[in-house]
Amino acid sequence: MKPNKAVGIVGYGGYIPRYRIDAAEVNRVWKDSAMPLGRSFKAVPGPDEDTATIAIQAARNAMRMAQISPEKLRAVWFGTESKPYAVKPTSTIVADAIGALPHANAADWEFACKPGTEAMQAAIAMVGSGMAPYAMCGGADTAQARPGDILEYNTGAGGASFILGEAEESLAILEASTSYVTNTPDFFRREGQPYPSHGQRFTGKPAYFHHIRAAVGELLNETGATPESFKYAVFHQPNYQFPLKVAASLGFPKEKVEPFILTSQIGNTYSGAALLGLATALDAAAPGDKILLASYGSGAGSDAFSFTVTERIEEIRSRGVSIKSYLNRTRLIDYAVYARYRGKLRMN
Amino acid sequence: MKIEIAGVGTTKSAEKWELGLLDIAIKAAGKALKDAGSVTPDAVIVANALGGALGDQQNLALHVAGGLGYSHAETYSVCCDEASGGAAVRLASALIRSGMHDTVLVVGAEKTSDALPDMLETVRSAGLDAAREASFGFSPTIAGALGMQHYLSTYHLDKEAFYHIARIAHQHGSTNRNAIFPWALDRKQYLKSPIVATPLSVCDNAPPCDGAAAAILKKGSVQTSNVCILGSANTSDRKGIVFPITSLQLPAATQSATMALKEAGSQLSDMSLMELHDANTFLAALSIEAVGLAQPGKALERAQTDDFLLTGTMPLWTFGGHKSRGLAPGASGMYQLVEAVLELRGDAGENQITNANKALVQCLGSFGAQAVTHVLG
Amino acid sequence: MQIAKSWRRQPSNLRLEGTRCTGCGQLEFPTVIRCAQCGEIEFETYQFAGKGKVIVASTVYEATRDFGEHVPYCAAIIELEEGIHLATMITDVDPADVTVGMEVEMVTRRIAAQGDNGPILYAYKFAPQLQIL
Ligand SMILES: [Zn+2]
Repeated sequence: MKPNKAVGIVGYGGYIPRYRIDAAEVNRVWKDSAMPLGRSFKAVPGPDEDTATIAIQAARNAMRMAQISPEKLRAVWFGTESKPYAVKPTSTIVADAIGALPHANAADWEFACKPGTEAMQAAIAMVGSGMAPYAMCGGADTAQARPGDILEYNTGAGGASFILGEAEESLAILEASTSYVTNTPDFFRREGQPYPSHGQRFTGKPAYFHHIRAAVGELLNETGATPESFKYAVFHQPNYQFPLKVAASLGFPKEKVEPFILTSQIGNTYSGAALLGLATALDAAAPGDKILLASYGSGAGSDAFSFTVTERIEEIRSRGVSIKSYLNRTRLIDYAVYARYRGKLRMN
Repeated sequence: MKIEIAGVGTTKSAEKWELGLLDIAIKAAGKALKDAGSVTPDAVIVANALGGALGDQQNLALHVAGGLGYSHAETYSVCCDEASGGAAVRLASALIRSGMHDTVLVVGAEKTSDALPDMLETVRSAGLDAAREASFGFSPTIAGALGMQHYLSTYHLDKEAFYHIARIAHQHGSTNRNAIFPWALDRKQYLKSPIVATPLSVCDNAPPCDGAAAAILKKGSVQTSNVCILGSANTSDRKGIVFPITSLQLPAATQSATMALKEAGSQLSDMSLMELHDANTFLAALSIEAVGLAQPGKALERAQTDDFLLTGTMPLWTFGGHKSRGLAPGASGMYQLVEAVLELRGDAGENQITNANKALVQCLGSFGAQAVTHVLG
Repeated sequence: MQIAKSWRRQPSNLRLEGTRCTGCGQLEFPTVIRCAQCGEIEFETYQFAGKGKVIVASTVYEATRDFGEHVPYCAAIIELEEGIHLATMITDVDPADVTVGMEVEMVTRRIAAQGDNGPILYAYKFAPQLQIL
């Protein structure tokens, strides 16, 4: 899929909370055998943070890089599975904070971990059809996990935001995008429940691997590209191994993928994960580089994108805030403080 | 025209679990009426800062008048944060001076113990700037802490310097049977006291309590032996906590004291005692400087001497101040007034100072943005 | 924090919008209705840049209602670049590490929530300036 009019990314920004907990500290409390191999940490939102505040900061950083007037944004779309309000859009809070209201479409997108890339496809279509000069999309989560669940080792917090605009102003131009979606209940959270449930090993082969392979396969078919065409490839990253494994099966070598897997530093940020990976890749990219992005959302589906970085990247990127700035800003906390910050202590 | 204070009364500052807001107001009023002999006031003015916000009795003055059995009294409820007591007295004076009334009952009453501490602090905060300060979690206590921190760093002092404010108040309160904390405070206790907001500790804050204090004001007769109001002023200045914290000044307190003294034809040095607003030790220090008892930054130095003791050159907080006697916010100004009257009448018992001739009492509202001063003699 | 009350303050709470007096140029934050300096009633919206310096700070252990979940937190008075003094909380830093003169920038945070069913107040706090790498 590709719009009639060429579209690209005119600005991007990410945000990661300051607090980190060591997976070994989680293991100290739960003592189970599921601890991921290797040293790993996850980002924990502070007591005054939630998905809305994370999305706002990511959006501000994207605006800072894009240097566009907020009234020119015709859409502010955020994807998350940890909405502060079950009913009431988070996107209106974000859009208000960056001054994009009232002449903008604002909505929350939901598709487990991939609503942000769905919103990206829609934003591309909106700009590509000429309906809007600019559209913002993004994904952010304060990822939920049941205490003691294997997910708890790496459910992180963070988000990223992208502003789509005309190709001539872009730091990276979209070549094509595909989606592959089926009705696969590998991971879900029922209405009113605080924590998600998942199908353990069922989340692997028939879910994550099948969908990403299909979406990327279709993208390569459609564009005629091969893994060799790409400088970098970013995959949804629920853990450290899955993206490497899916990359290898598609023919992408480790060195094109591994630098953008942030799970050992911040965990799985759900809706933020693939997008923070893309932002990190763009932080490293040079003009002419091709970047592959493949998200994954349980339920299930994958969106794949191919971008080509333009000559403008250095100038535009220098106005922004690198993901590294947030990766390097850390404050380690123990499980007790983590439990308090994440509202796991019953207060009322 | 002279206004005389014909009778006074207070309740003990305490947690009065068995009595409500209206009850303690009527109790204090009853004592003042008894003290004044047989009078029937033409008007009843009640000072109360928090009752309405805490979900207690509103239009309190009407209900106090009713509870006292008056059927034709003019009533007003005055709500000026912790300056309510002083403001109510000023309003009563205005009614008498205007010739509208001859005798006015003024009651200050506050019931804090019905509210949980965090709720009480929240409601007290509403006297600050509600949009900018209170809704962001700022309270008088936090403001006091910030002020204290700025005071310490500006004047290069240690936290211990504030001990002397609390020490003087507690020393005086130790012989006041109406005080909520009637004991002397030693340095160790002060330094060990838990921090509420750095550097301010529990011992820097006046303890909230239930309390009521009342006075009967009358058109003065030439030959009266009663204590009289010689001068008064109610002044406001920049609202908000930022100015006093950053400037370490209370312009309203300075101006209000100056105006009241001028009206009384008195100098500061004519005063035999002062009751200043010690809701926390920071505001107490700024008050001392604002009325002119010390140069900026020197209040704590002077507090280290014996000057402010009952036996000193300028006794302060003669019954323990808000710090030891207790802080009943809307009634605090009335307690100060009643205590000063007792000193001037020679009825202060163990807390009596010698040669009590004139007194200055000053209460502050909304973290010093409002100041009401009365000069009595 | 009733619903309409936080709603009407959103421009100042979320975007740091204040006013500039068309009469005398006085800047105010948050917005005012009448200029206290010159009496003017016409204002332009003024966008504060959201940068400032700490004047004085305190670590709060006893909070008012709705703020208890955040203790210990840092309460401070800061001076904005535009000269306005503002009472605010400093976040993303251990309270004891906040120093006088520390450069801070505006962030939007969850200030307080009214129980489990009430509205969430999102508004400004300030955080140490992020070191951009
Ligand atoms: Zn003006």
